[in-house]
Amino acid sequence: MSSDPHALLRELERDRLTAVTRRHFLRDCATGLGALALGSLATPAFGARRLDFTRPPSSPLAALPPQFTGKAKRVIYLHMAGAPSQLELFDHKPDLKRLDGKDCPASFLEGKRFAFISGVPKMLGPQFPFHRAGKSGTWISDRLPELERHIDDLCLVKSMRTDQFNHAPAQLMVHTGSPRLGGGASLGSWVVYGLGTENQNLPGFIVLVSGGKTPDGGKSLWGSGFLPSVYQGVQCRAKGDPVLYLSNPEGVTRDLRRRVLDTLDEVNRRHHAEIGDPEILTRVSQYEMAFRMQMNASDAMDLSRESADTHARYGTQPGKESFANNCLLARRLAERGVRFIQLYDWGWDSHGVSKDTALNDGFAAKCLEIDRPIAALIDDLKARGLLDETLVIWGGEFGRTPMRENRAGVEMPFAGRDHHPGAFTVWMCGGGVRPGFSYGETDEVGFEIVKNPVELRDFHATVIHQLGFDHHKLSFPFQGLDQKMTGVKPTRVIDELIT
Amino acid sequence: MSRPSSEIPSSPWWTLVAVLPAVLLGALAAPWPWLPAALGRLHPVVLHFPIALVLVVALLETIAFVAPRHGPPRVRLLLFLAAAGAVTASACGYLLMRGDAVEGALADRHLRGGLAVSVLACLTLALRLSRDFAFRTGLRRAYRILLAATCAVLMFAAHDGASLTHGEDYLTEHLPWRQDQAKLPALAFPVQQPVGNWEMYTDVVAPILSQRCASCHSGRQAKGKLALDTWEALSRGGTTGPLFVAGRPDASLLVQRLELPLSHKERMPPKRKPQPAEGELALLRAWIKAGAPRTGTLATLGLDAALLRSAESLPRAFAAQESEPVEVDDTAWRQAVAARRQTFAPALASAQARWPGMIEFESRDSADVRVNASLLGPQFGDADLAALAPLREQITWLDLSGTAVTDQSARTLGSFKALRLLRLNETKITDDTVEALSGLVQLETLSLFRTPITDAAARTLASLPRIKTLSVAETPMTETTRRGLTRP
Amino acid sequence: MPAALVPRLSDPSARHRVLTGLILLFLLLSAGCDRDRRSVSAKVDFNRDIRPILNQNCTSCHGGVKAAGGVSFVFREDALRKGESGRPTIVPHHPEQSELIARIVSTDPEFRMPHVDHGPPLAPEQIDKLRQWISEGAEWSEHWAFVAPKPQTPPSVADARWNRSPIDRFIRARLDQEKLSPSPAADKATLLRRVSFDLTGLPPTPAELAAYEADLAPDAYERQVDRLLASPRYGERWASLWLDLARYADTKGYEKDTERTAWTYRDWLVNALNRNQPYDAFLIDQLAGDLLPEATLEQRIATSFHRNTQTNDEGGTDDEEFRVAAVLDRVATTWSVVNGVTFSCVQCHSHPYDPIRHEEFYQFLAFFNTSQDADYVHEYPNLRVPDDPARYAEANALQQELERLQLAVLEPARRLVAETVWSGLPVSTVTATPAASFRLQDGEVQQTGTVSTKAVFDLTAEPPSAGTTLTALRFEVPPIDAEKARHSPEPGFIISQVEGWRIAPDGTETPLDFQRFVLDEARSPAAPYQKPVPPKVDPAKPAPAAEVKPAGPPPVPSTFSANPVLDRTRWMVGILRAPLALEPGTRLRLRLSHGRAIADRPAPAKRLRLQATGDPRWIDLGGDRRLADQRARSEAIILALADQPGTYLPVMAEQPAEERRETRLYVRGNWMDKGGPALEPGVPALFPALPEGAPRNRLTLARWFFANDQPLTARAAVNRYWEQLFGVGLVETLEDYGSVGEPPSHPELLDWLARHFQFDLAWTVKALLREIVTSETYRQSSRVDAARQERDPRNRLLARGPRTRLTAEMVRDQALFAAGLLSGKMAGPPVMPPQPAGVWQTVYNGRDWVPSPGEDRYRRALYTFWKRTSAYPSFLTFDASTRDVCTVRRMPTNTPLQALVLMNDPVYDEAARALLRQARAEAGPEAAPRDWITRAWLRVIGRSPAGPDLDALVRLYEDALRLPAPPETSAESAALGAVGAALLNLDAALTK
Repeated sequence: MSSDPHALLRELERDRLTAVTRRHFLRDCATGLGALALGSLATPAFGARRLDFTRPPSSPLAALPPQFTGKAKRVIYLHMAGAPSQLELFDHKPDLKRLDGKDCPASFLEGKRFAFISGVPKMLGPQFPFHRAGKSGTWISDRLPELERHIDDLCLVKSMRTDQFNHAPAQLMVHTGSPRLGGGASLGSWVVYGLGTENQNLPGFIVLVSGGKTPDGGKSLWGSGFLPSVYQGVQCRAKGDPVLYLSNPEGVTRDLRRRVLDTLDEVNRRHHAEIGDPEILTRVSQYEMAFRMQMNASDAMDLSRESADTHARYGTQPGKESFANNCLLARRLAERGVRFIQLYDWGWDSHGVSKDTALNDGFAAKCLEIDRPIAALIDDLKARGLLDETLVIWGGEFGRTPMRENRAGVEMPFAGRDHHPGAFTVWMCGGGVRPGFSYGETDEVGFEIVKNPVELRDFHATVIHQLGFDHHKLSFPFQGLDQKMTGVKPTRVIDELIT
Repeated sequence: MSRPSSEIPSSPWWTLVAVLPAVLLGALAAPWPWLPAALGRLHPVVLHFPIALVLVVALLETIAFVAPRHGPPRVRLLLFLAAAGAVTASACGYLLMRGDAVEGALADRHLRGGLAVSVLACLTLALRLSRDFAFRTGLRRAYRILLAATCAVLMFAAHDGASLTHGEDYLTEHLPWRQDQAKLPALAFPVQQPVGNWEMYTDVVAPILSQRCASCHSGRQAKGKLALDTWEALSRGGTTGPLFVAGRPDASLLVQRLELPLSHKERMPPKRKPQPAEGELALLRAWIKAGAPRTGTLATLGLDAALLRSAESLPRAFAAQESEPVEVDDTAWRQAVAARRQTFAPALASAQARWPGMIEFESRDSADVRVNASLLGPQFGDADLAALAPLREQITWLDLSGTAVTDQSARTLGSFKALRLLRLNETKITDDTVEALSGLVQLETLSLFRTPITDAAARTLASLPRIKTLSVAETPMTETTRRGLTRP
Repeated sequence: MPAALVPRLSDPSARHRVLTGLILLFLLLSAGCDRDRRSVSAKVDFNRDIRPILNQNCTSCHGGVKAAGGVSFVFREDALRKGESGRPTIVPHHPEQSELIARIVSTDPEFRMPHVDHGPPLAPEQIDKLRQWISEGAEWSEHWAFVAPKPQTPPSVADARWNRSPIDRFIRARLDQEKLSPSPAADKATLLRRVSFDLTGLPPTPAELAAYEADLAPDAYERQVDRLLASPRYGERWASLWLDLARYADTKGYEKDTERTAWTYRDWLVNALNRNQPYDAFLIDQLAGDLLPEATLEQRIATSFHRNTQTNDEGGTDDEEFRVAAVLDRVATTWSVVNGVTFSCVQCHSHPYDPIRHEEFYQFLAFFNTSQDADYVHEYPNLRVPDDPARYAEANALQQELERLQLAVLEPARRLVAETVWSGLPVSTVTATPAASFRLQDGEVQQTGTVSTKAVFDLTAEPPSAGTTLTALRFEVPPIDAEKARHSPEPGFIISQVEGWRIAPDGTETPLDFQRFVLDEARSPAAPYQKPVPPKVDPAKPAPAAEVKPAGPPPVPSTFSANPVLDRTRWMVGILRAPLALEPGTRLRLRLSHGRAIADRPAPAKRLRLQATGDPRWIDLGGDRRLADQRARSEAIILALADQPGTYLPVMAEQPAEERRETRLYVRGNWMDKGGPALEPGVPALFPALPEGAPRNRLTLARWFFANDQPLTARAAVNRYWEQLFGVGLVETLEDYGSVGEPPSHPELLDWLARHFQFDLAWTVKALLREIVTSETYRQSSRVDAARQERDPRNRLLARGPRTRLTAEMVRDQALFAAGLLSGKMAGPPVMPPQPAGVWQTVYNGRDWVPSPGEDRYRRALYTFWKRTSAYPSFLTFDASTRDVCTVRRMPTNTPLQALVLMNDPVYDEAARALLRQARAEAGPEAAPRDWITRAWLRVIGRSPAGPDLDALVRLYEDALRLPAPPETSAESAALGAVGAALLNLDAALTK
């Protein structure tokens, strides 16, 4: 034994602790609390090494390397606003067909909250035939024949779930991790905060909207929450300026603008020499970047530069607002190093109240609208060798019920389904996800998840991991806490989904 | 299923089998929440009875079967106790799971196993108690089969139970072949020889690989189709390709994987496995640097004094090696990365100053460099690429899409040996450049979309050893050639 | 252990001796060491030395959120308790017995704290500090912000000019201590620009500047300050800040984000600021104006502060869910605004690092949980606010009379219901059209299964005792679980019409002649005070002739509802016109028609009971003239209010005592999972106690925030004003004064200012602002020299004056003001200045952005229509808040998108051209470009240009004239625009 009394004391303390803790550990394991204890230990905390995201104030969007080498460098997120029915596209439920028209068993309804269903609804069978496709033998319906060509590249998660059953909160939940307006920063803004933008002449997080409406959650879906506002998404438009205020006002030529900037530069620099505030130089550089952005963004958003063949493959019409146009834009932006490209397509809320919202009518038409462009987008990414490092995500904000909607207590005139937070399907492609793979299972009617449920925060953690961050480490100090996209509840990266 | 004889239901024994678990499970509904958990703890007490009893019955029946002259053994009581015990143990086990919130695949399997044993034991008992047992051979045969099945399932269930409490490899831990796997062939260092005379491969490299890697990568268990315990297997490599490039440690998969940060998914050995010391890594590097020869002594290969000291300390280090996982922090790795970054810091700084935002480290844990010149488009040309040459050892990722680079850069590009990704989409480069890429053995992704390359490039492309993604769309290359190349 | 010891130790007494000896030795040595250490370091201060260590390294696992291993460091009593290890975490005076020390010194990675996965071991100095602190008794002290400010004496400084204002004395003393010298005073022009923006949000006019420069009196500056404080622009400027705090918007938020007319609150705000309402009254009005005795209409308007929460009109949403969300928001906002405490984290668990417990959140929530609003589409309760402020008193009187009348009408019925002997009227059959399923239990109808929104229920019931008379029928709808419904209400119901028939024994049916129906609630929460709108008749559509009208007079209106939720048993009594004798064998048939959904779901009564009475008093009540008069008066008031031109403003109103919701703790913050007992309203124990005997309501709470011993109210207020003037608060984290917020840069000054504001100035804001802006500290030049930049890059020590970017509102107002376009019109509905087409695309919301005509195009930014899901884009680019939730601090950014807005937004392009035209017109036709460019410069930047700068702009003008102009404009116009754009985009123009 050591002669130093302090060391001896420490050693005694240690021995005692060892004995106690071992005992505890064993007891905990035996009582099943072990897993819990280990879980909490695995959550890195306050004192842990924090990643540094500070940048020079003149370039808050400067690119930063990820924490570790991520498989994905960028994300293209295709959100079908309104929530498409998983039961008509990916979640094959032959039993549901047999139950078509039967009263829903009471056990399904107990303790459940629905947006519109009331009382005892009837079951509604899948409206379209399913078949196995690709080498992976993945089940898919006949609504997406073009996308089916890529079925062996898709990684389907059939067991996503959320706790929100209204559009706006559920969309906010998907994109910000919180159901409240202003509650959290969006995934895209987190990514741009973490990685910056590669192309300094374009925004790092671009949002494209189709379907005639902004999604229900509004601009908060791409807001930056408590993150500095430079990280929020920039909505680009099909009509008018692609980015608000991008083009010079009437009567101002590019030459004249250059001349104005030269004057600004001269006077501002003199001002800096006099006042000494470094912010002045920052402003000078921002004006220069704005000038470059005017060129670059216009060019990136100009679809007329694409070949006729490309337009045919996507089904695009330059100058119109459409999902197809946005898919083609997404590819152009991905090529130009935009970090997070978010598409929203409105019109998937298939309640069956009208033809537009009927599964066998409006929904089928929406499928037709997205099938070709998505397939073409994946084709193009593959051809350019970009798919490996581009994570393409497709999904809605929740699923749809296996029951037929009976709003106001009467059956809808058309086949429609109500909102369902309990299970929905999302797929990913490229960006290092496992190709030709389906994860998670729902019960025989697609109502409840029976295997491998994936919470939205798990999904966020997985996307963040693919981009090269531990979701605990992609954090921002605010209100005395290290805020994270995934919050404080236990969260895991779904390792099974990634290669 | 055979119909139990009519007297069975009235048998008090039988009733007990049914009532006992019901009473136990009834505890779940009891107003005292502690009760199920407390009863559940009886599981370890109860479970040994059915195990022993079933085995005893089986033993007695086997003896009777082999030596029938003693007549049928009196096993009914034993069998009853076994069945009752199995049912009780299952019930307790279930309570234990509920009370202590035990979850997991193994626990589920154990529960199913326990239930199966209970059901099988009861069925066996039912058969044995059936009135016609003595008169019908079919019944007796079924009884014996069921009994055997009960034993078999019992073994599995019991093993799962043991794994739950004692760890997965409890049973097999001390078995000789398991020992082998953990500590592969006893390491015999030629300690009596001066260290300079040691054979580099046989006495240094092979023991390191054996100590650090062979528990997962050997003839017995070859994860990733990789074995490291024989020279042949070692030189073959695994699914990810050959392990080393003779003379170029940095380009060698073996070294790369060993030097990744611990947190990295592809790091070898993975986190929580014993980790090689720095000296061991240096020795492996030195060996590859020397061309990864099968023979040659440390002295003839010209290892420096520090390396010799590392080699000399191997026997002691390995002897002291604990089998428990060691917590290693990443400090050493970070320092190594920082040191590597230091070696080219000036070149990098000047390049970054010239092209702001174009050049970045692959990650915070890495000294590899990514260059995305596509952002500059046609403003980036051959001369610019040439100016990046000082960083050629570091650049692993290079996107030249849409830039003005031409075949003039062919040789420059060919010298970027560290490249894992190269993108030349929509540039003017031709087959000549492709030919110059033949030395890029690290290359995993190559994009030649919309370049004027032809079928002539196919041979070089096919020869790239590590290529995983190859894009040759919209090139003059014929469809057939293209398909031949891109087929996995 | 050495083997030699073993034989000796086998003897028990010897073993004892050895152990005693060893222990004594340890004690001696460690005591000696301790003494050594104590001699070098002074006594440990918990807040300075220990709390940071704990917050940094421990509380995220051992804090309010999770107390891993049963250990928490938020409260001292918790830290002294035994953890799961069975040993006390901290034993005062005994570090060696404290688990904390054992853990942090351990070298075993499994046992050491912080755990190896969470961070490196503590530094030896930190360990020593903790050890010393425990040796000294492990004294806890409250975080500075939770202790009331102490009186401070401003230090004396040598410089006489800096020794006048206490503010300067604190600042200067610190500068002296840091060996920094202050900057010289800013020149007059710079100072006037700075103070004009700070107090009114607008730059000075050239005339104002000239007057100030010509004024050589010693108090010239002070008189400028007084002029600015008296300007009506003052209220507009400071209202912008308050609207962020109040999360004010002109829409409701969420999916539909439809319009809300709340601008009368905004006008109240501007007004209250302009008339310098003291800060305490200002806040008490907003938090609880409705509860003030003799509340004025203004005071009730002020309560709209907490009705600026969002309302979710999305189809199929649960109103209770979003009512709860709004209440939670009110709680969080109250704390953020008044005290700068992050309270919302306590919703799910105890505060992670500040000593506030989980239950305390819900005790506090109970203050807000009994308001009448409930996520209604029509935003009930609303206040009728006349457009003409002269009619405020009249409208207020009418509405209060109406409330009294409605209660008065209700009261006799309530009394009579209680006094009446009711006999049960068991239902014997029940059918529904369309068909639905029912259960009959003890004569009560229980609806099961699906029912359509328009369902009609037909009930028959047999009076139990034959030969009685009937005067009134009582319909009762109890919740399924009455106990639970008090805190977790059930979906509500709406029965829109009740009719009845008597079925004689021979089967003939005669309608029951109800004279009126009385309800248990004073008002049904429908949009009140609105004239009944006649049903729209579509001339193209022929009236549905097929509808069979039953003979006789139309049924008496009898809407009976609990909307949106049912939280207690509800009743309605139908009073017959005359007593009705029921001969034996008579049955009653009752028809309940539904017709309206709640949140898109059918809303039938799930349970229904009938009771009957023959009490003749009911007939009298039905025909009571006085009641009829009161009812008529109510109707008249409603019509009178509706006739006044005005708007409806959502305001706060309390539930009547007997209807109040119960508040319980939400387990882990989940509103659907409640636990524990019903909670009385209360405040966290960390803060001063509520006054004894005062009613536990919002008014008491609001007044409590201004109690003399409150630690944070005054500090948060003065710090907010400081931040507005200096760019950074004395405490930088305005949103969190808690123990992980930033410590104050000048703690004594903060305390002095807080007490000064609270006690000397009696919460007078203009007086406070005047003191700050007339200080030498504020009046310094903002020039940054290399030395100061190096020493204090963020100017926390204030060795120079503040220099900050203009806010989004100021950027716009300045451009329009300088160009002579800004409208001076105050108050009124929000306006829509031009914005690009297609910015608004909200689902299910028909509203469009239609640019306002005339001068409304050029109103101050404050009056711009603020849509939550799509705020005015150029404001957002300049860091304005979306107003979804309370914003305590805007974070200024500097991005290329700002450059795009200022150069390309047609608003600024127009301003740029107008600016130069205006300047040229003023200069006269003969003036040279040099001359009028100088004038324009002066209008924007507030001082004359330096020679080279003017040269640069003149060159720009001349070059622009030479450049080929595009067809749609003249070279002249393009050149003017170019010079104007340059001026408006100068850094000097964007900062104050």
